[in-house]
Amino acid sequence: MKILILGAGQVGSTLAKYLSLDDDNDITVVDQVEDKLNSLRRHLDIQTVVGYGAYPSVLEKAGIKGMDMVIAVMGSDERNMVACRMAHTLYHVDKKIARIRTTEYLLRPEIFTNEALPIDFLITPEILITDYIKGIVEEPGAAQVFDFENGLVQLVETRAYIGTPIVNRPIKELHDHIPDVKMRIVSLYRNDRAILAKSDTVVREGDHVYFIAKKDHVSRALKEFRRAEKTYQKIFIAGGGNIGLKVAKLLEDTHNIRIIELNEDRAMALAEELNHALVLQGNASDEDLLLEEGIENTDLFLALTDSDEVNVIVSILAKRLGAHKTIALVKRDVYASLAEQSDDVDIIVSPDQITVSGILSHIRKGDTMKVHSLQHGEAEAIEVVVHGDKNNSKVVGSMIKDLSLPEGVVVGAIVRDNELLMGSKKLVIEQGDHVLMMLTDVGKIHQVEALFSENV
Amino acid sequence: MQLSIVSKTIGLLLMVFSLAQIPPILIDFIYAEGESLSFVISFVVTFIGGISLWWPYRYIKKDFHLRDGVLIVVSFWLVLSLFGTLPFLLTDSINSLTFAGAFFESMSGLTTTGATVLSQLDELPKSILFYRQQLQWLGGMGIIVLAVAILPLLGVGGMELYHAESSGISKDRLTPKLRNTAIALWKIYVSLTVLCAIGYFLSGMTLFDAIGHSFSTVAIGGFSTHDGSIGYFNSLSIEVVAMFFMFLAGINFSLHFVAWNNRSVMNYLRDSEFKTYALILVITAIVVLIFLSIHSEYDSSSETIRHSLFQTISIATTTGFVSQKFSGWPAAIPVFLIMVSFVGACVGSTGGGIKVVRILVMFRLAMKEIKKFIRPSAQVSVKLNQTSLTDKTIISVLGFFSLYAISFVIILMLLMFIGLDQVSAYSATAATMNNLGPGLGLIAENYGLLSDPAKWVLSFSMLIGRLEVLTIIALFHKAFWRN
Repeated sequence: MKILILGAGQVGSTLAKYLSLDDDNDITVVDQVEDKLNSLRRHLDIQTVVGYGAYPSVLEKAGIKGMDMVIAVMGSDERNMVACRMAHTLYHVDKKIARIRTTEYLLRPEIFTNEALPIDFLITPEILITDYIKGIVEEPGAAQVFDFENGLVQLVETRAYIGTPIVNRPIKELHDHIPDVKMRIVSLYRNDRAILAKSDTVVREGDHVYFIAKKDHVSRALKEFRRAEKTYQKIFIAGGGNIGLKVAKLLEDTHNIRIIELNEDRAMALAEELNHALVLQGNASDEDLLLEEGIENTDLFLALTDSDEVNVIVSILAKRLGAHKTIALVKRDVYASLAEQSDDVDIIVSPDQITVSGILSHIRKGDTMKVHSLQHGEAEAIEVVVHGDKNNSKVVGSMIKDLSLPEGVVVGAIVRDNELLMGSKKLVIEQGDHVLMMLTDVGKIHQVEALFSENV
Repeated sequence: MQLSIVSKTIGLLLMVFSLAQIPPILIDFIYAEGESLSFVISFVVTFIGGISLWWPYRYIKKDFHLRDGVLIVVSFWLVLSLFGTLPFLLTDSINSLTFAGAFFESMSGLTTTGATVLSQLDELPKSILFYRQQLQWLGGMGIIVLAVAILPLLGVGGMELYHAESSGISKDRLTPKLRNTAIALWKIYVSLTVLCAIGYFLSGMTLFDAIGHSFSTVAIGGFSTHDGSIGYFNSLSIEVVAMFFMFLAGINFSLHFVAWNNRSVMNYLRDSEFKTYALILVITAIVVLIFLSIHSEYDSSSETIRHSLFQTISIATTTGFVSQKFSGWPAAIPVFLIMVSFVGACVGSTGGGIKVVRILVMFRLAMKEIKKFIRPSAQVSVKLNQTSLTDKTIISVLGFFSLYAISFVIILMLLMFIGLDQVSAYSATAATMNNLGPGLGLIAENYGLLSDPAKWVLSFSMLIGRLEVLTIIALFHKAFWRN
């Protein structure tokens, strides 16, 4: 696919990186700052064009005429809108994706039509990130939670801890421990390497386990891997930016929320917006303030400021002062992997990876409903809809074990008429099924797409 | 520095390029001159050389860094030239060729210089002659560009290699994928070669000569299968075909690409570098024409026009074909022509020299300084194709020029210390650094008379010119080797 990315900021660069992993994609990136492009071009096999991404002359130079898709992720919403308008009116580009952050615009979805603002898919990172954090808060013990089927099914990542029922036992024993829980392990990562999850694979301490389960069963399944964590009650939020505010707003009715904001005016605005949460004006790295507000019996500390460094540092501080669990928002990959090595930061939330996952779902062809990008873009969890019948589909009517799936691809579950069926070997695939799969190697995506496509 | 990945990549490339020994075997099969054994041995030795560099590290998967890329490119040019000497050394048909001479010949071929140490070419076996032409053709578009086009397994690492080898002040791609860019370049290159060969054949060359000369014409190389070069044929139509294709091959290939895609030649006329290139050729030809006429070198004016035009295009594009002994031309013309070869062809072409665009940028910078001197408060920007150049670009052009000049002086002095006279040393340095080929004085005929040390220095000079100085000089800086 020929894809034009406008804007080489964090999201634009990460998208270019993920998309160029796929050999079939031709990527061109446009940005005004040449230095950003130079560093991208050094590492990725892409074309770059310097210029203002909404100008027709620049778009033409970037070869927009043959593009299948335009992704506008420049700094300003208005610029992204204009660029999509240009792409639509002047060059008839088929698919247009734009990042829109301003709530004012998002409140009026009727403006996003082909006559007004021709954008096929809006991406709003703050909303995605807020939902993601909400998922983690609701599922204590999980490192990452991804929704499928509007939350009916979830893919959960967790670490296996010593002293729990499953550690040092083969996977197949799970069913004896919790026979009535609908879950299936789709992938294991040991020392950052994927290992095949077969029924006799033994789970070791420290393994990162990905499993698919029905949402109601997730907390019971999690008990197999780690000691039960009580639901989070007392939550600290550092940073009252857009994300901090949105998270606080979502949780303030059900949880005990304290939010710390440095800027006085902003803190005032937060206090006006929020009803139950306690707004504190001060520095999140102020030890006295944290202690005074009872950091030692805080269940969860969320570091959501704009700065990666601050988020990592205050998470470590909070953990040392007694917070039970810390979550840090970290944009840059370098800090993310550094922070992952620290025991004081429990969960890293990467806004780019979340945003990119959101966009990827819309880039994949036809029947892919949902894509979650995992392991820094190397792995993916996808949901595919099965079309066709026995005659024109390679999958309809065959058992899961008979599918010629590439190596490293596991069928986790199937959703049929809103009913979750775990992906056991003898399950027969039918038309209309939603198949949830885990790919430990993104490179296999085309083989999977080809397998599930309908032959006309 | 990751020597494992360097060794693996060079081994891989060497295995691929060992295949270049196969076509001469087929040629020998046709002409039955009993030369195939030397090529078979060369093939086997090169292939084994490649395997032994590749095998120990075959499972290593790492990304290249910039420095690895530079090291791979430079060492691969050296290694390939080294293995390229094998057929010259193995054959019985070339007498008393030293190793330095064979290396010079091989390097001269790959860098498309076209300087030769061999004489009595007409008596050499066809397979050896073909092999020389083919070396030029492989080197013309760049061996790494070829490797990127045919070897997908170089992957992202191919980019570092490509940038280290390809010339240019801006490294714009033709397509988003590097591999497709390389393929597009080779498609243009092959098409030009085929058309050129047809042109030569229709103008009366034998098929063998037509193909051989088309290789060295489109590569802007200058090797010939005859001692008399193009002058051997003494045919106006052959010279016209040669001029046409030398001119085309000296143009930036991305212009060809755009022209082909748009089915229009308008983009040539909009490009400042192309216009300057054409202008320099015209002015040079007129100057040569005037001086040849003044000195009544030829009887008819049509002869004068024909030879001044051919020699101008051949030297200014750095091809180095000879239709007439220009070294014997009167007055300052020989030195003037060698001087013009410093300008060279366009960036992104197969030609050598400093490249027209850099000269143009420096000229415009000089104009800017003059304007600023006259009107100190005037804001003047250096423009190229209607866009202002950044200071960074201008500084890199000046930096390139200073390195070029310094290298020139060092090589010139080395040659004079070795014992060459001024004219020979000057023209030899220019002819090799600019990848031109023929020189003046001692080397007007060929380079066979030079001593071995001089040949080594000149081989190095050719590589400096082909890889545009910086890539090579960087290896000599201690910062390059510091981890």
